[in-house]
Amino acid sequence: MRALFVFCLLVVLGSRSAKSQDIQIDINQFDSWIFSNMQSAENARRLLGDRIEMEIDRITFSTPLREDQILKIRFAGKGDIKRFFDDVEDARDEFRKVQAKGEIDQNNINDIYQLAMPLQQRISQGLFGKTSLLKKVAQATVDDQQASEIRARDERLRELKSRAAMMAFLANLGRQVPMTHAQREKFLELMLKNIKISDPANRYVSYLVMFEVSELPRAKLTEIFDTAQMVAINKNRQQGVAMKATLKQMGLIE
Amino acid sequence: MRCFKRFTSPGFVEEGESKSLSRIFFLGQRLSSLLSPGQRLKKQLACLLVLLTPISSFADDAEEEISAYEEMLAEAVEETQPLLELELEFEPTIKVIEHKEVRVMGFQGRLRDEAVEVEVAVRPPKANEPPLEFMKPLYNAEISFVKRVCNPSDQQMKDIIAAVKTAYQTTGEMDDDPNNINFQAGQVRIMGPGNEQLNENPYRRVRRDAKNHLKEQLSDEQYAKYLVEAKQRDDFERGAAIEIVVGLIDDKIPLAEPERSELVRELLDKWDDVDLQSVQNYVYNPEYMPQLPPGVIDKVLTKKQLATWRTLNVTNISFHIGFNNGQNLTLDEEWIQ
Repeated sequence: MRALFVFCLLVVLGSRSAKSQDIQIDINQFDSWIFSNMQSAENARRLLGDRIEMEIDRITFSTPLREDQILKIRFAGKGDIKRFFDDVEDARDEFRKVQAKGEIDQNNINDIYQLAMPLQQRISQGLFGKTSLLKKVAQATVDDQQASEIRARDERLRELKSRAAMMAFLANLGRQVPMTHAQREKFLELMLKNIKISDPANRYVSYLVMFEVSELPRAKLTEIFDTAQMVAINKNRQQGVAMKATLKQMGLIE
Repeated sequence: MRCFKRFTSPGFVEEGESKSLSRIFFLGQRLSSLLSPGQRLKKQLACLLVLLTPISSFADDAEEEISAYEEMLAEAVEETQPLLELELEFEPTIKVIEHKEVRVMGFQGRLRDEAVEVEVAVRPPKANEPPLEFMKPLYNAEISFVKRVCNPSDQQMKDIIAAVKTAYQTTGEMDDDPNNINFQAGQVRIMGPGNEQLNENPYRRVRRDAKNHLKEQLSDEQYAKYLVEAKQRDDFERGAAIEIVVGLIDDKIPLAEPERSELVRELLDKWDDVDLQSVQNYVYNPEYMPQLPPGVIDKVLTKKQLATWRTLNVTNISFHIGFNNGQNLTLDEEWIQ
């Protein structure tokens, strides 16, 4: 993707000759890499402000918040935005230094893009994740009753995501190991009863499910599937076992 | 009349090629997917666009198919016109050539006071394209599915294998010449393990072929059972894909319970062609979001949520259909050698 971007950029910017001075990138272009669909820094500030309000909505879906709590959470969210824009400013400074030296050329354009890319990813993935100030302050601000209501909703969402991940695993397995509707339903029930996925929002959740399936008692599976199906499913389970070390390293299992 | 869309077919219709009804319908859907008057309209338009298939030739023993095709055309026109407020400017010109080939010469219609004008290109037939080897395990898996669902007799199994093998032999047509194929914005590219540019989803192809070829080989009861089980499988896959997408949206845009339920409902209603494997790409690449059927997001989200949605990287990610890892996990049942 990155290579493709650089290639396209070079095609666009490169004119009749490939001389390095032909590449002209200004701070607006640099900003557009960072803010992408948000178009500009100013627009991004406004939209990120809206996202703070949506994160407050997210909490109020679980439990009502008092005005003083909302103020604290909003303030923390603004801290996340400030922290992000401080990093943007650092990246801009780096860019300006290279620009001032007239050193922007085909050799370092990828490095310059690398200054913008992590910021673009942060903004795409959202500034208010688990490690954000907003989330930390929200956790510290709510009382026990509110915390319990938030946990209950989070648990419901976790279950929904876990179920979706298990269904996806099963649907994919079914494309390789054809099974009847009854077998699919029994297997899903078995998974739902016996598997607890630690982080169903993780991008590697499919590997996590594969590992958890490898931990299910073989006897339970043989009650559902015929011999030929079991041979194929066992190959899948072996792959799950092989994932264990990696998943441990990633902190997804103990 | 203003022309708002002009479309030339991407050249997947091949002169002289024998086509089943479902293939024709598929081509109609492909054409309709390039227009975007709304998913619900698309479905209706798909029926009408069957008319646009420029050349549909049938096998010598396809009298029934021809008559069913003609009936379908009549029904499509009758049902679609009032729904779309669409008036045909010209009746589609359908010519029956040598009593086996139906040729639709041209079409113009008006959609909600705007014009849809369609030109159809025909490319020369592919001569004896070899089947795509990577499709074989998929066809074998489908036969295994039939075996478990329908419990066919030994003789039926022989006939099923022969019929499905015939379908497999035609899979060469799925591999489009990259120079000819005309991908449109919003279309998911599906590639085979050797970077083949596939002109249709391999799983859908296999399942459609099976559906078409099994009717003759199974009893009515067995066939009905197959259809029910196949639909349950499709629904399960689609349900999983849609739940994943809704979860991804909720990560970025907090959804209240009623919004979440409505989004699931809307997507189940309108997102027929969602593919599980395609959707899973977005789990690995959370900075992107898939394109949803038109109208769904606007209907469910609030203004504030919509403003956020519009800033997300909504794009269709091309993907390789994942056979490589899957092959060694398939059943040890190689019906087609």
